[in-house]
Order: sequence, then C-alpha cells, then structure tokens
Amino acid sequence: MTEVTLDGLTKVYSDSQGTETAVEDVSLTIEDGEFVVIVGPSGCGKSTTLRMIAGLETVTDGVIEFGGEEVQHLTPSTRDVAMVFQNYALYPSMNARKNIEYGLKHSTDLSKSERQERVAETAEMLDIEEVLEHSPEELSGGQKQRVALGRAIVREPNVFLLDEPLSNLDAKLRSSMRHEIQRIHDEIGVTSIYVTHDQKEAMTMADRIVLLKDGKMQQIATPERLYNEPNNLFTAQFVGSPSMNLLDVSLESDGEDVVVRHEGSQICTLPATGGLPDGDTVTAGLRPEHIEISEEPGDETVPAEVVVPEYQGKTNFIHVELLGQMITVRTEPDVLPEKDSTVHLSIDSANLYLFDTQTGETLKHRETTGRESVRASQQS
Amino acid sequence: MSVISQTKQRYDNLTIKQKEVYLGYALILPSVLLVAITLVYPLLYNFYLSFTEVPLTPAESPEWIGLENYMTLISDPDFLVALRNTFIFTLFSDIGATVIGLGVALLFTKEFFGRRLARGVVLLPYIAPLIASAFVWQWIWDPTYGVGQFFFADLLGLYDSGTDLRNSLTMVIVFESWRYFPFAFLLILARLQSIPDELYEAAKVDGASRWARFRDITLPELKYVIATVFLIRWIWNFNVFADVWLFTRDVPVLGVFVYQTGFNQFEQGIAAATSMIMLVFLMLFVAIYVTWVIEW
Repeated sequence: MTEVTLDGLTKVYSDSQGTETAVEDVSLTIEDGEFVVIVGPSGCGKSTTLRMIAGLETVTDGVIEFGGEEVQHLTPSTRDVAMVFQNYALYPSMNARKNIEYGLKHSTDLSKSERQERVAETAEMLDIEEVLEHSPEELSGGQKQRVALGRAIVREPNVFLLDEPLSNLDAKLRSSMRHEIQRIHDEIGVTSIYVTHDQKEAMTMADRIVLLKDGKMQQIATPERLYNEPNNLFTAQFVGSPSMNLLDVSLESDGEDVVVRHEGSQICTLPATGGLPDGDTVTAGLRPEHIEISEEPGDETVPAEVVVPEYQGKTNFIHVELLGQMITVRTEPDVLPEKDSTVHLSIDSANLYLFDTQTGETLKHRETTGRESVRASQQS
Repeated sequence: MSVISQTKQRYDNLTIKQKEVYLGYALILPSVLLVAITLVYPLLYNFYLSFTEVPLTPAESPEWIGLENYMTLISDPDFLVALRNTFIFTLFSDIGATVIGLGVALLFTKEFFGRRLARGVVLLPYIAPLIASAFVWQWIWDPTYGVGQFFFADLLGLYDSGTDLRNSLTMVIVFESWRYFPFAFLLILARLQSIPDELYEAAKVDGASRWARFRDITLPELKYVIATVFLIRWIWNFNVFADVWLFTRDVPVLGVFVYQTGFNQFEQGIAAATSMIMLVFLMLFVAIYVTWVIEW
C-alpha cells in the first residue's frame, strides 16, 4: 500500500554559469494503486521530478513520502522503486533472464530457485518466455521494452516509475505496448508514475494527469477534466489534437446576451451569466471538433475561406481562414470542402472557452454534458 | 600503333566495373610497393640469412649452413635467459600498464576540479622522450644520491640503503608500466565515457553495489578495449629494445640479445635466427589470443 506524496518538491541546478530551477514547488498526492501520468513539453521538469522520486537526483527542497514515510534522503534501492528507462537500459552483457533477475539478486534475499520462479512468472505475464536466453542486442525494440518492464515488475516494487518508455518504439508498437502497460497495471495494481511528452499517451492511459510547464505544476486532474475544464490557456492548448484554435475576441454585453466579436464580426453569443469582463479583449478557445461546418449560411454562422482541406480518413481537418485568422476544423469523413471555397462555421457557445489574454487564466470553460461531468466527478 | 595508344585503346574497351578494379589496383600499388620493399623483402632475406653464416665482409656471400644457427641458439644459455626475461617482461609490464591505465581512467569518470589539467599531466610519461625518462629514472634510483632511494630506503625503510634496484628485471617492468599506462588510460577512458549513464542508474535502482556495478557493467563494456590494449602492448613489449637498453644494460631481453649478437659479436646469422624465433612466437601468440581471448 503505497501512497506517494510530493510536498513543495524543488530542484535547482547551479554551476558556474548560474542557477536554473528545473522543478518548482510541486505538491501532489498519488493514491495507492493510481496510475498518474506526468506530461509537459520538453524541458518542463517532468523527468527531473521522476528522477527525484526514484532517488537518482537529489532534492533541493521539499519532501517525498512513500506511504507516509519520508524517503528523499534514501538511495534508490532502499526506496524500493522500480524504473523503466527510455532507452530500456538493459545490461548488455547479460541475457534477458539475467537482466530480469538482476534486481532480485541484489535487493532481495530470495533463493536462486525462488528468483527463477519469479522470473518465469513475469516472463509469462509479458509473453517473453521464448527470448529469455537472448542477449539484448538480439531482441527487437518491443521485446527489449518487455524485458525492461519485466525487470521492473519482477521486483514487486512499492512504486513503479516509467520514463518515456514508449518513445523509442514505432507508432504501431507504441499503441499495443500502451495497452500492455495498462493491462499490467490493472493486474498488479502498483502505484505508477509515468512520464511522457505525448498528450495522447497521457489522455489514454492516466487515471490522473499532472501537467508541468517550466517546472511548475499547471493542473492535476482526470483526462476528462483536463480536456473540459482546463485551468489555463497552456493546459487548454496542450491537451487535445489538433490543438485548440485561439481567437482574439471582444465581449459586449447587451443586457441579455454577451456578444463575442472577432475583428468586429459577431461569431457567437453567450447568455449573460455575469462574471465576464464587458468590453474587454479576451482570448477565445475553440476545439477543432466543436466547430460545425456547412456549405450554406445559417443563423449565427460565420463565413470562412478554405485554405487546406486535409483528408485524414476517419475524420478530416479543414484549415480555414476566419477574418485573417487560421483555424482548424475537424469534420466527418464525408465533409471535405474544396480549397478556396467559402464555408460557414457555426460555433456553439457551450463549447467556447474564454481565457484572460494577460494571465492565461480560464474565464469560461466548456459546458459539459451530463455523462462526461458525472464521469469526471467520479474520478476526481 | 604505339604501345601507349594500344594500351589506351584496350583500357577504353573495358567495362566500368573492370575500370574500377584497375583503378583500385593502381591506387594501392604505391603502398604495396612500399610495404614490399621495406617489409616483405627484408623479412624474406632475414629468413634466408637465418640459415647461413654471414661473413664480415660484404664482398663474400653468406654461406648456407642449414639449421645450425637454430641448434646453437637452443643450447645457448644466454638465449634461454633472454627468452625467459622477454616473456616475464612482456607479461608483467603489459598487465602493469593496463591495470594502472584502467585504475586512473576510472578516477577520471567523475567530474572534479582541474580534471582537464590532470588529464594532461597523466599523459606526460607517454609524451616525454624515452631517453629523458630513462635517464631521470636512472637518477631517481641511484643508490647514492637518488631521491627514490632516499624516500623508499632511507625514510620508509622498505629496502636496504645502498642497494641498486636499477639493474633488475622488476625495475624494468615498473619503468615500462609507468611509461605506457597513459596509452591504456586514453583508450579505456574513451570507452568508459561512452557507457550510457542509464545502465548505472538502472543498476542503482536494482540495488547493485558499487563493486557489482563495476563488475557487471563497466568491465563487460571495457572487455574489448582492454583486450585490444593488451594485445598491442604485448606486440610492442615482446619486440622491445630501446626502453630496456637505455634503462639498463643488465637485463637482456630478446631485442637486446639480437642487437648484441648481430652488431657486437657480428654473428648476423644467429641474430637473424633469433628474430625469426621471435616472429614465430609473436605470430603464435596473436593467433591464439585473437581466436580464444578476443574471439574476433
């Protein structure tokens, strides 16, 4: 039973060139058995955070607790964590079996036969029994990844740490290994912390996502919540693919409604619920999947010119120019307007996000349907 | 038609592939000639000389005496001493230089103040001219005024004052190990620095001790570079002449034996036979080593 708590975790690197804060005041609690994904752009401090939890990096300030016990001063092996590295880090001189057994040999008192048994069980779980006698260089990328996972699982650790484990695999293998990792997590139920730069991996795998930027935590929430109710502009843009379209808009209240205008043209109206700044310029966010496109103008539609119709198969991305601003619209597969043609966009104000242009803070997020909000509240 | 234009005609008729083959031959021809003149011819001539008695005057031809030179050598106690010395010298100075080189290289894997400068200093024994090193070592170990003598015998009492350590096989081995450890150091350090940190981190997470990490990660990764350094040093040490000769005249190794036999006693047939024996020993060693140790 291991709950992981980070409290004010900070890492500052300093050398003759000056100091650099890689991680700043990260505080969060990961529940026992939870699968948490730390995500963010490169250099955001996600790997450093993971390495501090692993004990591979010293902590400048703050506390790391496993099950209520402070561990930040302990060596990696005494923390009883297991880690999967981006480049697998398999010991080149040992075959797959010895690689998996190595941790058991050095951090447990198990007898040789008990160790062999554990290795056999793990190999069966990961379907790598046939390659146990192979050396790492004889293994394919996927097999290496499985051996690396096996090496971590076999130790039955308190906490399972994964540092971008799938980024060296090709796209097809990546998605199958993603399911594999989820299956293993469901099976062994160890508290897991997974680092990736890929928001899609985070969205599909995580119980909760921790979003970092410049070493600071932006938000920790379930994937649904992160998608529907981002705290700020950065989170809103990071989550979702293609990313959210942004428009500079002005808000004008006419008593009953708030009119949202871009470059003087009305793009939609919001019911005046109060709390929105009147007459100010704010940033509007619209997800490509929340814009409707049609060939005929209708009530409250805005005309736009098709710049690039991008055929994708199961869905299409239509890049259009709306009053001097490029935006992307996601459509059904049968909707593929011609280049340079004029289309009409209708924007549902329920799906509109508004952000403070200066601070990036969310002023209004999407109004979710019942099903989604129920699920989000259950998980958070 | 002239010969030149005939040749040109024939060349023009070749296919591109054939032309490339001829171009290849033409390009390596100068080096093949050079190697033939400086290596192959002397080697063959030496092989021939080893079966002859070589007269002092160049006006007379060498006299064929069959295997007599080889028979003389086998029963010559001086040759047997030199052979024994050569093996001991080669083995231990090779091990010495490689082990010191490995040890020093390991010290350099960690970042420390003045590392670049220290790296330069470590290379000095290898860079300094041999003659200077040999003479300085002679002075250091001089039994009357040497600083080594003062420190190790007079101060620490490790051996009796007044003993001359210089003319022993052991001291030659120490000198050679000191002089050539930077070579091992350089090659081993280059390999050490290319071992991914992640391997050590994975082992730390797995709970491996410092020694276990060295044994299970560092050593296997260094296997080939260490084996290669050992092989190269073996070849050089086995043929050694100058290092030993300049340091002391009292430790005959085969290189010194060949020089003395050939150019002091002018028994050039016997000297030729000795160098043939050295060549055979070396080739045998390399063949065995490459087959069973390096497994190339």
